Amino acid sequence: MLLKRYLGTLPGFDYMSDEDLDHVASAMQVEEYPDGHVFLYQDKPAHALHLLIEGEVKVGYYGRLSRYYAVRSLKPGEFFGGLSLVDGRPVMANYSAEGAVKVGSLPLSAFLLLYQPNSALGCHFQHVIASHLAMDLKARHLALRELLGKMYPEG
Amino acid sequence: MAADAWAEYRELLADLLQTDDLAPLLDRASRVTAPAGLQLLKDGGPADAMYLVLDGRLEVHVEFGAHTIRLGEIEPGNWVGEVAYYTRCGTACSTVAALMPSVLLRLPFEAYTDLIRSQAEVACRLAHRLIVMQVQRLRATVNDPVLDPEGRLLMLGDLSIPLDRASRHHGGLLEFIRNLTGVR
Repeated sequence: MLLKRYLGTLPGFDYMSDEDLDHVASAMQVEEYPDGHVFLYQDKPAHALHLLIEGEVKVGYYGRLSRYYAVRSLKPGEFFGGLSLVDGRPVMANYSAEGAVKVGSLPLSAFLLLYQPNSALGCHFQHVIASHLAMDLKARHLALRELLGKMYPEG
Repeated sequence: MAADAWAEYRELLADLLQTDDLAPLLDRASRVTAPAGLQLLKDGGPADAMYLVLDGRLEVHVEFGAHTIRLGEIEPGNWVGEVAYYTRCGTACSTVAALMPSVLLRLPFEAYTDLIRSQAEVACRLAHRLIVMQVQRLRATVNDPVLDPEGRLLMLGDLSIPLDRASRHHGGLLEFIRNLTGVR
């Protein structure tokens, strides 16, 4: 499948022109990774914006007493790593492959060039990042709702 | 809506968007007055607009049945409802209500889409503002809420960006590198 065509189906990319999509797709490196490959480490900075294309990526974090908490699983079409790239602070969780996966990665240098509001492409890319973060916030709220459901199963 | 309806908030809006050209936004928006307790968004309910707090304060909860987790408060200069827009789901992912009498700018989703398509620069400034806000909320909304003395679940983080930080605009590549490296 053409990466460009795939990107065009994702939230936030619908404002991009054909040429914009070409630029983003050509800046991404698509690779296959084995089960267990760690893309992002908790408390370490991200060095790329990742897009899960095939397979599953699990998200978890180490809390108090180094206990591991499984947070969620990412599905194809979901980005990860953007939060750390936008604010320059460490990643909040571990992101690792659950089985074999195919992931497209936009290196930090390309991200920095794209995430500039001084061009049409940069403006359009802002909506991609806003969509990615909105999906994360929605997932976070869903997790909290599930937590309530476990605490109060009667509703 | 008459232009003077926004008179007392023009400075705030210009500061937030880093431009005096507010017409593209204001022509598509309406001013809403919300009494204390008014619910603007209902968790899981339909959402067709986002709101900018101009005055007052909002409160945000996640709900499950009769139980809630209080995520925090939204101060002037901050938006709500943008998650429903950007996830294209048409439903709110939290309940947002006025904590006190509040004045809001209401921007319907279809008006925001029109702004993006026809006034890209203004929409871009707004999108960047929404990104900064979402980053703040993701950092504040941790995965382990705490119980307050009354037994209510709540988050300890701060959902809002204070007004004195609100006008920070995108600093460009150099600012990015400074942030990443910690060098000022």
